[in-house]
Amino acid sequence: MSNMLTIENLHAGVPEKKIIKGLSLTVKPGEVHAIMGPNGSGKSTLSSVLAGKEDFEVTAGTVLYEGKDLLEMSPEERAREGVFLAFQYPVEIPGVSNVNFLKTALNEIREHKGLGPIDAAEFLKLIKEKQSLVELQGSLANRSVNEGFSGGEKKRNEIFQMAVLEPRLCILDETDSGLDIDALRIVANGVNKLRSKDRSFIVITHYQRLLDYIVPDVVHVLYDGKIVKSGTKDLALELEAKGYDWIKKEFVEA
Amino acid sequence: MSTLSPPLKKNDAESFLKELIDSCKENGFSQLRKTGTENFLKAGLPGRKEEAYKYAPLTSVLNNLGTGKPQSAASPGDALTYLFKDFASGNALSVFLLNGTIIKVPENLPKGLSIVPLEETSPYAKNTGRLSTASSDPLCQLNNSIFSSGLVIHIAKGSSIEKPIVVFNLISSDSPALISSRLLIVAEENTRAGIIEFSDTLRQNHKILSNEVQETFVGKNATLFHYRWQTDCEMGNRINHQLSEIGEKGVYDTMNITTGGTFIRNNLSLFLNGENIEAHLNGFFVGSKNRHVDTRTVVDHLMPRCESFQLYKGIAADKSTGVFNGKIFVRRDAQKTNAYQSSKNMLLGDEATVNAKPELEIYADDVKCSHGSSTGKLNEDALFYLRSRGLGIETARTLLLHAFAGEVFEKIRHEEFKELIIEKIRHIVGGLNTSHAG
Ligand SMILES: Nc1ncnc2c1ncn2[C@@H]1O[C@H](COP(=O)(O)OP(=O)(O)OP(=O)(O)O)[C@@H](O)[C@H]1O
Ligand SMILES: [Mg+2]
Repeated sequence: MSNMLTIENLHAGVPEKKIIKGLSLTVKPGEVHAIMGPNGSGKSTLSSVLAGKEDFEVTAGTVLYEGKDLLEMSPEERAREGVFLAFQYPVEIPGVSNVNFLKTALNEIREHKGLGPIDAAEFLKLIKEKQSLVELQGSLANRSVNEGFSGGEKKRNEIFQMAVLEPRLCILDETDSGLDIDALRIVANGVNKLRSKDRSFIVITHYQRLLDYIVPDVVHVLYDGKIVKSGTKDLALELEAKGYDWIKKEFVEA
Repeated sequence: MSTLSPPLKKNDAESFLKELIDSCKENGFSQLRKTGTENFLKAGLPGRKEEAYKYAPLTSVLNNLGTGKPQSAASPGDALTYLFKDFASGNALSVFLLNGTIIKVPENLPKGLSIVPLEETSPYAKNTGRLSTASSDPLCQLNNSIFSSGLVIHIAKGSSIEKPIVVFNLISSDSPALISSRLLIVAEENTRAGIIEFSDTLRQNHKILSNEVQETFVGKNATLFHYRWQTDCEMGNRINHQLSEIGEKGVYDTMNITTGGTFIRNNLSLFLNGENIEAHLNGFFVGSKNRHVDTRTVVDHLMPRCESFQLYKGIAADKSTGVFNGKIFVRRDAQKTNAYQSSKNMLLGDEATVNAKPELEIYADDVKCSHGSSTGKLNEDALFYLRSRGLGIETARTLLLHAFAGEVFEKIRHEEFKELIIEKIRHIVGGLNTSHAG
């Protein structure tokens, strides 16, 4: 089975700061990888680099997505190829309608696949179906993108978009933070319904609770720009109990 | 290519205009002309030091206007109507003006609506100059002195005009020219009407300046909207003095949209001269190349319990400049005033500039006033967000610029025009040069 994503010795950062410092990670189709790690360790930076944010410069390393050089692609090409990032802090875009923009996005992706634009009725049906998947209120879908959404609503909207666009590599950056207990379960169920043998997930979280719902195949610890430990879901439990100090110590000693 | 020539010396520009005044042989309105001449000569041209024209290179605009007089203007033919054919058809009452002179009016006007040339003997003309003679703007006084043509739109007491009155305000001349025209709009008591004005300087290869005065009187209980869209060609320059007086319980809604021309100045003065008036002043401009779009509003709250709302937005690209100067007066009697003003601008590129200056002068104590202005760049995070969902960079940019503009157009209370402008603006902002942005 070929890899969905292969990151090798990735170095990235901003001119004044190195953030990702030699990170390697391999994700196979259908797998769910959880990434945990202290604040500021570089988790969101990794997500941004994978999604193509130009603020970060890649100084070394390679990233292959389905065998193709991901770093060569523009953000929109990545999206059209099936990469999706659910943002930690989704941006509000006044005046841009959530559904209209999503329809444009979907049609761009369809065009890339050689498909014609989706017809209006079919799109409406799709929207309804995916809305109920994450129990997103209909009125939210019709509002401006994230404008005035509560923290939890923004996160649901991310998963809603993900469900509509049906990407193959889904990166969830702290989608659980800001969600109440019910919403957490709803969103996690939504994600689980999207799990399939050819769709992979990278789930970034601080809380092991999410991983009770979305059970990962592998758990990684990202610290100081590198993956310093990987294990089964039990690693998450261990982190929950002991914190990160022992890992930092191990890492410093190593 | 620029139509802005090296600036004339202020003295030279003044003597050019004096000659024009001396050679003026227009008939009628002798008192108004006399006052205009006197006021103009007394004030002279504003210099750069004067706040009102601080950013406006008037002496450049007044250069290279030839004799100043328009020559055998080319017929506008279908030059513009193709763009707005829906509005020229049965859904509207279309009036065509060439350099301010009527060339076509609808044959059967609805009852209560009169559209006639501005002549001193016309019973509808009696308010002419009532607002413009008091103007402190020398260019407005220049128009008082030498205007050569005009139009009156009169809505008789109690009339409701269902279809919009669409004014194609076309400018054209075979040689460089300064064109001075007037529009008088009188909406008597208890009337409802709407005016949509398409201002266009037809494509030509020499410079033209249109210096126009629009006086509007909205009577008691009357509702009037007046939307203006300027699409002048690059050789076109326009200074518009839009002076309006609103009476008790009147509703006035105006919008100035500028997407063309090289030097555009919109001076709006609004006198809220009755209680319980509702006034909306909105505007939007797109600046590209070296376009200069200067908007100056004065809203004068003279009486209690009136509301005024202003939203002015602009997108400046290339080397364009935008100016917004909004002044709200709340006079001593104007208790319970509610006045709101906002100016929001977006710069694309490092060479574009916008200067926004809101001013409040409040002499009453029980009032609600707010004003604010902001100038920023395209939101890069929003752009990335859209791209990360699969939208191409151009599509994403256009979407954001269009959304930025949309807030203004939402306020248009004529569906067809709203749709038209939203669609056209999508193309216009889509074609802007954003390569320096970010
Ligand atoms: N554009 C930037 N300019 C400068 N420093 C940055 C920039 N982006 C991120 N950083 C820094 O890089 C480090 C990693 O940030 P990142 O957001 O990736 O952390 P994180 O692991 O996602 O943290 P958290 O758990 O708090 O979300 C932080 O120290 C942050 O301040
Ligand atoms: Mg983060």
